[in-house]
Amino acid sequence: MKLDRPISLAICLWWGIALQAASIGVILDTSGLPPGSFSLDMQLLDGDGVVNNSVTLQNFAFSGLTLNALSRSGNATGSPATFIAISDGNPAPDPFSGALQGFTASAGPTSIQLVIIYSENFAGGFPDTISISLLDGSLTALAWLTLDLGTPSVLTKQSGGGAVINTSFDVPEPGLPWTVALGTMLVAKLRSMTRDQANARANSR
Amino acid sequence: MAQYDNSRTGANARESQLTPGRVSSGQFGLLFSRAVDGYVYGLPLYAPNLEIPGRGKRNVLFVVTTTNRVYAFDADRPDEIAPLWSLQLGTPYPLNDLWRAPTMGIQSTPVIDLVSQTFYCVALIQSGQLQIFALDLATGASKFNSPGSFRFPFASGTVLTSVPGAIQRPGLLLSGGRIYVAFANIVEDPQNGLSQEGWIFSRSATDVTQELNRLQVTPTGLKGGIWQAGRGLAADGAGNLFVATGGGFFDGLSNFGSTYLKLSPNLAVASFFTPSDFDTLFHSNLDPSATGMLLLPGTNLALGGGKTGLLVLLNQASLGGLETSASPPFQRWDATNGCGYTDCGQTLSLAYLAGPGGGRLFVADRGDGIRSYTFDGSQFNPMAASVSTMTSPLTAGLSISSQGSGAAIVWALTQNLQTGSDPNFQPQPGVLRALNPDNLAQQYWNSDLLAGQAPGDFVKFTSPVVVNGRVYVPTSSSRVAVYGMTCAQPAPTDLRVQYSGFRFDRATNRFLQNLTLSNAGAEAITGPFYVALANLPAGTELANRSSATNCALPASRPALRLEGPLWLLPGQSTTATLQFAAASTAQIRYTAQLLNGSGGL
Repeated sequence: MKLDRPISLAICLWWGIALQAASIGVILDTSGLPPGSFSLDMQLLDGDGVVNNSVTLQNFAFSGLTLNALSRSGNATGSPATFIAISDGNPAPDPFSGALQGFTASAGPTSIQLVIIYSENFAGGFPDTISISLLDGSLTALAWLTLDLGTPSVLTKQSGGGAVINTSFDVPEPGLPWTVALGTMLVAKLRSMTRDQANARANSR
Repeated sequence: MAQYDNSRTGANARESQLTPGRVSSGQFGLLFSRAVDGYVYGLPLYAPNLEIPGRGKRNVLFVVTTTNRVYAFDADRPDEIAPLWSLQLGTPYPLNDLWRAPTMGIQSTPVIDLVSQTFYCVALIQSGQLQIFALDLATGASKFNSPGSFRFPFASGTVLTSVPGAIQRPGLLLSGGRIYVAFANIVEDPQNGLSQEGWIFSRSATDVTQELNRLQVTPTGLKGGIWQAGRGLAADGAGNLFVATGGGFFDGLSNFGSTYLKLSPNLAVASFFTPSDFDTLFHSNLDPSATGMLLLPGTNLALGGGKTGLLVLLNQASLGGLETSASPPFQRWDATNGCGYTDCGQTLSLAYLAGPGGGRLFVADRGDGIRSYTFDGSQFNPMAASVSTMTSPLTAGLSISSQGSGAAIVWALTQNLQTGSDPNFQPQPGVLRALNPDNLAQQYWNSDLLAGQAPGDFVKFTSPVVVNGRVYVPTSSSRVAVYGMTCAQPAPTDLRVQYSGFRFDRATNRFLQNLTLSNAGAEAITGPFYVALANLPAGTELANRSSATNCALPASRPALRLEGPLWLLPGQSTTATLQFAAASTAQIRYTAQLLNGSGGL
C-alpha cells in the first residue's frame, strides 16, 4: 500500500470531521413539482423526554426556486442563508421545535440541497426524530425524510408529489466506540505508513 | 385437503389462536355462517392470502355442495355474506334418499394445489356422468382442460360412462402432479346386488382429461368399493397410495376386496394386507373401507380400521400380504365397540396427535364414545387412555388443533344427544364440541351451552375444519357455521414492535408515529392486527383510532386496526402510523398491547 501525504491528510481530516458529529447530505429534486407555493419543513422532535440532541442544517442551495417567508417555532434559530439550528426541547406554548421555509416553484429543473449535522443521543423509549419534509400549499407532506436517533439510528425516505429525495452520503456514527477506535487506529496507521514511506525515501537517497 | 395432510392425520398442529384456555374463556363462539344451497358432504377447504381480482388479498373458504355448486367465500369477514365467486357444475344427480342428501352431486372433499392455484373437485351430474373439474382459485375459471369425464371399462367389454348411484366419497388426493379419485358403487350389472365395484383413477393435474392410470379393485370379482367414510386417500412422501377397500372378492392376484392396499404412484399394487377372515368381511358387509388409512408421522407405520371396530397397525414398506397365523398384522386391537360380525353401518373417524416420543390416536364410532390410545413410537397401548362420556348416534367427526406440541384441542362434530328420532333417516341437530385430549370427558366448550350457537343439522362423514383461529363446520342445513374467538386476543410474543420517533403533521396538527410489527418467530402469525394503547395521559388522544377495546380486555383502550397484511410470515413486517392529538410529544406516553385474530375489539 502506498499513500501520498496529501491523501493521508485528507482521510485524516475526513475522519476528524466525522468523529465530531454525524452528517447527511440531502438533495431534493423538485423538478417534478407543479408551479406554485410549497414549504420546506424542518423539525427535531423530542421522543425520549431528555433534551440531549441538536441538529444544524447548513449549506442550503435552493436552485431555480424563489424563497418566501421563514417561520420558526420552539428552539429553532437561524435561517437558510447561514444555518438553522434546532434542539429537541419542548418549549411551551409551541408544540415542537422546527422551521418552515416557504418557496415558490416554477417550471424547469429545480432542487434543494442541504447538509444535516446532528448529534445522536438516546435515553430510551421513543427516539428523537429529525424530519425534513416538502409540504404543498395546504401544508400536506408530499415527500419526507426522517431520521430516528435511536439505537441504531434509522433513516427513512419517502418521495412523492413530484419530488424525489436522495441522500448523498451517510457518515458512520461517531458515538459508537468501535468506530472511534477504528478511526483512531486508522489515523495512527496512516501516520505510521507515511512516516515509514518518508523514512524509506530518506534512506534510499 | 381432507384431514389437513396426505398422511390424513386430521391434526392441524399450526393453530396458534385457539388454545384450551381461550376456548373455555367464554370468548369463543359462533361468529357467522355462510349460506349455501345444499348439503355439504365434502369438507370445506381454506386457501390463505389469495389475490382476488378487484377485491385484494383474501383468505378464502371453499365449500362444495351435493347440488354441484362450488363457493369461494371470504373466510374472515362476517359481513361479506356473498361469495367471492360461485359456480354451478351441472345439474346434480337426483337421488332422493334422506340418508344421503336430496341430490348426489359433489360428495367428496376437493383438493387444492396452492402452487398452481387450482381447485379440483368431482361431481356426479344428472346424466350419471362423473366429471372432474379444475378451477382457478381466484376466479373459478376452468383450467387444465376442465372438465374431464370418467369412463369405467370392465373386463366384459362393457364401458360405463354414465353411472347413476355412483359413490365418490374419499377425499381427492394430489400427489406428484397427479389427482387421484376413488369410487364405490360402480354398477356394471344392475341385476346383481353384489355388482358394486371399486375403482381408482389418476389424472394429470395439468390436464384433467388425461387419464394416467386406473385400478379396478375386483376386475374379475365383485364389490370392493372404496369409500373410506369420506376420508382422503393417503400417500407417503414417495407418492405411494394407501387405500382401504370395501368388502369384496379377494384372490391376492388381481382382486383385492376387504383389503388394505399400498399402490405405487402408477396404481400398481405394491403391497397389501388382507385379514384372514376376508370372506366373512365380504359376505357380512364389514368394510375395511369404513374408514381411510392414516400414516403415522415420523414412523413407517400405517393404521387402518373398519366396521368391526378393530384397528390394524401395518408396516408401510410391506403391509404383510394375506394374514396367516404366522403373519399377523403388526398390531390389532379392538378400538371401538364396532359391530362385531354383524352387518352394520359403522364408520370410524380417526385423528392422530403426534408428540414427543409417540402420540395419541383418537377414534370415534357410531353410537359409541370417543376414545384415545397412546402410541409409544412403535405400538399403541390397546387400553384406552381416555373415553368421552357422551356418545353420538352417528359417528362423530374428529379434528385436532394445536400449536406444535403445545396444548391441543380435540374437536368433535356430533349429533345432538337429546333427539330421539332415527339418526339414519331424520335430520339431526349437530353439536360442535371442544374436548380435552388428556381427559375426553372434559369439554372445554360445546355449542349447546348457549342458545343460538348450534351449527345446524349434522352431516355424516364430516368433521370440523380448524384453521387460522376459526372452526368451520359443514352441515346439512344449507350453511357452513364459522366459530372463533369473539374478541381479538393478545398476539404471540413472536410479534415484535418497533417504535419510530415523531413527526408533526402541520396539515392536521397531529403528531405521527410509525409502529413496525415484525414476525420474529418461525411460524406465520395471522391477522387482523390491532394496537391498543394503555396509559395515554389525559388530554392526549389517538386521533385515528378504529375504536376502543370493548370485549378485548382490558376494555376501553383506544385501538387501531392495521389495514395491512392478513398474515405475517416469518421475517415479514408491516407498518402502521399512529396519529396523536397532544400538546407536545412529551404528552405522548403509552403502553402498546398487540392483539390479533378474529372477532374484533
